[in-house]
Amino acid sequence: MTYAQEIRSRYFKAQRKLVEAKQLDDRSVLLSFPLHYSGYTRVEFSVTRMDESNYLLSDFGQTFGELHDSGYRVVPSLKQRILEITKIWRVSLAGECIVRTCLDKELGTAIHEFAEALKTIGDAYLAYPRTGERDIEEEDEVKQKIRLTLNKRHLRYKEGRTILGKIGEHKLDFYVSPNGQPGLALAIQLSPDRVHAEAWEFKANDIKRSVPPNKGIVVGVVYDPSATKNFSRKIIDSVVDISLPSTEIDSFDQKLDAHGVKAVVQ
Amino acid sequence: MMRAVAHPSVTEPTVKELLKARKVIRRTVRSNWGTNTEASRIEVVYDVRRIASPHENIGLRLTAWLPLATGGTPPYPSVSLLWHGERIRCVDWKWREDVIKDNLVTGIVRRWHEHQWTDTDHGRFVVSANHFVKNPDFWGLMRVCLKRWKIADSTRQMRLGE
Repeated sequence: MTYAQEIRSRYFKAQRKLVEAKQLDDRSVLLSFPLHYSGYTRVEFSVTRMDESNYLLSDFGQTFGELHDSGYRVVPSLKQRILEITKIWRVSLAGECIVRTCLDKELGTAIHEFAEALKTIGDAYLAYPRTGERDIEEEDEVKQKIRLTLNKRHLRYKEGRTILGKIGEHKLDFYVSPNGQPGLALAIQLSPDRVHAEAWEFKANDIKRSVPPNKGIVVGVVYDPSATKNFSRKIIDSVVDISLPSTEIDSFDQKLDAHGVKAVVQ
Repeated sequence: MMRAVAHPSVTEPTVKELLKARKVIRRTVRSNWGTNTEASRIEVVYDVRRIASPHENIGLRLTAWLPLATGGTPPYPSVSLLWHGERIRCVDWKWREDVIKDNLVTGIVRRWHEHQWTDTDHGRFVVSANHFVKNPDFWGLMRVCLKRWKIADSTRQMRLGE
């Protein structure tokens, strides 16, 4: 036996132990592979003989289940993207299941490719924690509290407005025009990293330097203290007028008082 | 493949503390239970909060999932608890799952098992759940997980499932 043959032989010997097969019934077998969805769970799927020469491979909904359990919304656009990623392996969708049909003569290759397709989906989607949906919900909650405070103070505000700084344009979540009184430029940055915090250092200065339209404007940033590292927090604290942790949103009213942001006619 | 760096709040001690604390389902984020008879799955997502501070959103989500049409293979539900997007607990079914501790495969479990968050292995550390998952239908598994993770149910959806 050559060295190459020996290595190959040892690899296949190990695979025999690592790959498990459980017979489900006369026609179906459950296969469990030593491949993991980004280190979480093993790739498993069933192989069912449909007739003399055709087989059906199905993950019985496990892959989308993994995505759902990790916080993804399994919507049609996500499914479509997954099909695009895996089209080289000729998989398709049947409800929540990823499936592939194959002929008897290509079964071995199809099993290998199907396992690779499922593993690829896991790597593409599960390698990084899903936080987007949670951020959107929390942002909505924060925005609602900001609206309540501004309405209570009879302040006229605009949402999603872009204003001009001295150098560039800056998109804000809430904007109250100065109109003879201190105005407000407020952004919600729930989990700002260092780059975003530094960007706000520039934005805050640029907005304030753009006199006269922004003269006397109060710049504020709302952030989630549990998702913001101390360094980013210190940058924000040092550059904006109102640095507001989302857990202390109830103090927004007092902070507006402290900076003299109030309606012209109460 | 190793996962990305975890959310700064999610560490083994904070997860343990959170699981020990009494919690409550505050609201339904998403659910198709009983609304779509042609759906190919059941999925629900709940917003969970501490009973001590129910108005504070702590980024804790309870999710459950069941594919309905699986092409002959029995459908298995799964229930997971996500904190800041990290899966800190999950009960699901696999014919075989590797137990990973300190980045090493230390054994295997079969069928029902619980993924438990650790600083080193994140959700890859698993323990058998066969001894406490006795009624593994969708709501049966949900109830077991609620009890195990100290979450009280205050939603109508949950009562519909009983």
